[in-house]
Amino acid sequence: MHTHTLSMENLSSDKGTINNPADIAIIVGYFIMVISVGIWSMFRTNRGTVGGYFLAGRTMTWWPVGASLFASNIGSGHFVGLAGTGAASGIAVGGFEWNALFIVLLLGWLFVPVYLTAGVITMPQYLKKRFGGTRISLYLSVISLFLYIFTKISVDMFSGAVFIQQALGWNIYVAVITLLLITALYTVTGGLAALMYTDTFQTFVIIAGAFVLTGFSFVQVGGYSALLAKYSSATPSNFSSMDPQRYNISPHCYTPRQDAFNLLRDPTTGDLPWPGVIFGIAIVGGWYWCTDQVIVQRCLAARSLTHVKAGCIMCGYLKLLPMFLMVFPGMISRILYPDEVGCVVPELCKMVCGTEVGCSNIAYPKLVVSIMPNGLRGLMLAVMLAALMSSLASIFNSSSTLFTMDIWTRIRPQATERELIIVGRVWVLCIVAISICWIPVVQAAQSGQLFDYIQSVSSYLAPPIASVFLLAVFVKRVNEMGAFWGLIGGLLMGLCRMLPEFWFGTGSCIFPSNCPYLVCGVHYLHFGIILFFCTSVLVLVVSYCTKPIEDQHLHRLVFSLRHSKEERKDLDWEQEERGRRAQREAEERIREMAQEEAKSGICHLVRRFCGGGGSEAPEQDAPEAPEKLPDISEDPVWKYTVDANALIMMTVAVFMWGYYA
Amino acid sequence: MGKLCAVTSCLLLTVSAAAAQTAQPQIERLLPQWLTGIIAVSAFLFLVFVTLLVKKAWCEKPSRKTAVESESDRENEFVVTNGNTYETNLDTIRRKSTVESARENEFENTYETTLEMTGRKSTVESTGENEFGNTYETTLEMVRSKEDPNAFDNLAFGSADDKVTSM
Repeated sequence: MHTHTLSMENLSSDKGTINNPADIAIIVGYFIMVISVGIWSMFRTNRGTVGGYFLAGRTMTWWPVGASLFASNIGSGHFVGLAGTGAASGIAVGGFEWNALFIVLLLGWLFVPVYLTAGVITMPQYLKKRFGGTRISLYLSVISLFLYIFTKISVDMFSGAVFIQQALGWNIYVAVITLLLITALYTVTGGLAALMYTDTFQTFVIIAGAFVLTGFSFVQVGGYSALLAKYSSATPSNFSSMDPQRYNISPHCYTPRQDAFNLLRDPTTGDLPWPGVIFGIAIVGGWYWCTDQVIVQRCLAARSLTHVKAGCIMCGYLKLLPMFLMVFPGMISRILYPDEVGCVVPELCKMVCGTEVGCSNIAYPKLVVSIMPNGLRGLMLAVMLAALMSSLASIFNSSSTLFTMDIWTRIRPQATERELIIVGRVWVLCIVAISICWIPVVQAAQSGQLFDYIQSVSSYLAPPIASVFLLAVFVKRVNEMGAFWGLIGGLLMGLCRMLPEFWFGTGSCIFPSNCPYLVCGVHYLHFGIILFFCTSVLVLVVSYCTKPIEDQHLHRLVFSLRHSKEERKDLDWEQEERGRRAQREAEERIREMAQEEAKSGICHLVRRFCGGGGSEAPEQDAPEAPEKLPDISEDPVWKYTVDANALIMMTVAVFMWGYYA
Repeated sequence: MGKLCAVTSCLLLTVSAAAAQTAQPQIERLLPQWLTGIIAVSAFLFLVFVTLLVKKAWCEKPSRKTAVESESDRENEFVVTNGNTYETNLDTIRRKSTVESARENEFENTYETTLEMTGRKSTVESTGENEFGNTYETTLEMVRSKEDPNAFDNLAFGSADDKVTSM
């Protein structure tokens, strides 16, 4: 009947629109800027040491820290996912962002002081020092790498792919491979310092571009009050089933929700119930911001605790923006293009965006293609690239840190610093290859489902980790047995929910999944809360039934002892000592060999480019000393300033929550 | 005929307008949005105030912490009765100790020690009671008096030993 109303002509003229000089000039200019910032930062820090490469020499001030936290977090997944979910179900998805305002303060005030005085580089290393033994840190490394590949990398690549296909019509493989190679280039050579400075630049690009688009979309729809008024009537014109034998379309599948402008929704019937939004997202957020390597590594690179806190506050303020820059434009997109973004008939949706489930994911790319003038479209593409590259680069760098410092040093304890840095770089290339192989999987997965899968995976696997870290930092009594069995028990519980749900599929409004109520009835956020508490109880019970860890092993590893000046007898001391001895012997051997080699000019150039300083450094041991020892004392004046700022930020956040509740 | 067309189109228009308006309105709010925001802020500030009061009341209790829990200054000039001051500097990964020798009754003892906690106590004693010229480049310091002044007789250097004492 109304198949022609889809205006196929519009669709084909939209594709391939970035082909005019203004757009191309902006994109090329963007890439040049990013690469030059990367090269500049290469000369600023010494990348030859482990601390210099993985932790930027601990010299970062607050603004790269804050900007890098924001840019590492905001990926193309946010643009596509937030806008798409906002178009489909309203502003509650912004709760994910606004919850982070509080969690990021927990990071800066409670967790980072402990991580800093513990003197660790990676989170599994912290757990190893805190609990002793190797199984917990091994488990955490493996599951973190798994979660990176399955949640962060796949989400960002999928969203980048959606955007590229909608806005550019490029071949997906060419586009993604080019992007990954450029990202890998400045990640591999520059280390964390290059990442953090480029992230600062990317943050500007992201915010500027997103503001421009938001301005245009509000102008197009007629203002904020027009948004409020028109959203509830943004229904598609085709909503009758094309094949009534197979399915029927009930009105609630295509009508915008009544509570679309409420952040806090009904606990039983809402799609994002308010206990889940407040507590469930806080728990998953606790894992993401306070215990995950990507985020914590940026805080550890700061030059002092005050800078960490200021950076966290800056990140918090920036996290206020995604609601206005991504969720609202998504809703505007549905108002302006209800037949494409809000399509409901499966056959029509397949024609619009290639999947039957729904096309809300094209909300943001559709806006970019349709309402932005020439030149600014190039800017928006630069924004998406900025978001995608910054997140991917951070994940690459942190996963290489995890792999190098936790897994490789177990395999080869005698690895020298130079070898570790080389391994770190090679691992980035490996993970780029894995990401490229992931593209067909991403395409095969029905797109509308991917975000649900991602959020579910996080809710089912992250709460045990968050609970163990929280208890490790605050409760001295928790010991290795408790933590390990808590992690394993939590993992099993999460898998019990996750595997059946994957098996049955999440379904859609028209074709609901037949997952039994017992398994899938509880909302995934509520399940996360339950899992968190069960894991905590398990950890505490097992810890209290077994031997405690004495205080002498815990100085500066727990919050209550973070200022303690006493000596700590490391639980992993013997292992470290063996590793150090093996490393010293290996270095001696290398030094003897190096003196006999003749250095050619090219070798020397390559070595300088890669920042390897190993063979020239008789002060191989000294690189450890000039690194400032992590000191968590704070200047009182700055401490009060920073605390006051945090209070102000929390007040603003509470006001926004109250306004939109 | 034209008028009939106009009338029917007007009628159709009003009908469709009425139909459009039956699209469900949003949830009616009891209070205006800015008011709920202000209420939330006041509740939050009240909670903060209460927390500060509680913290102050709780910390007023005899806060007899053990001697060295508080953050100390960078330069400490200590005079301990038997003239022994220990400092422990903690490095995170490497264990090295380079201790310079010091003779008895020396005024300027500068130590640059970077020790890692290895489960053994490393002690550095300074000689000379009542001396002010000791500047230690340390980031973490601790005062604990342990041993009696046998230091004058011990000169042990090197990193392999349990205790590194020098004068």
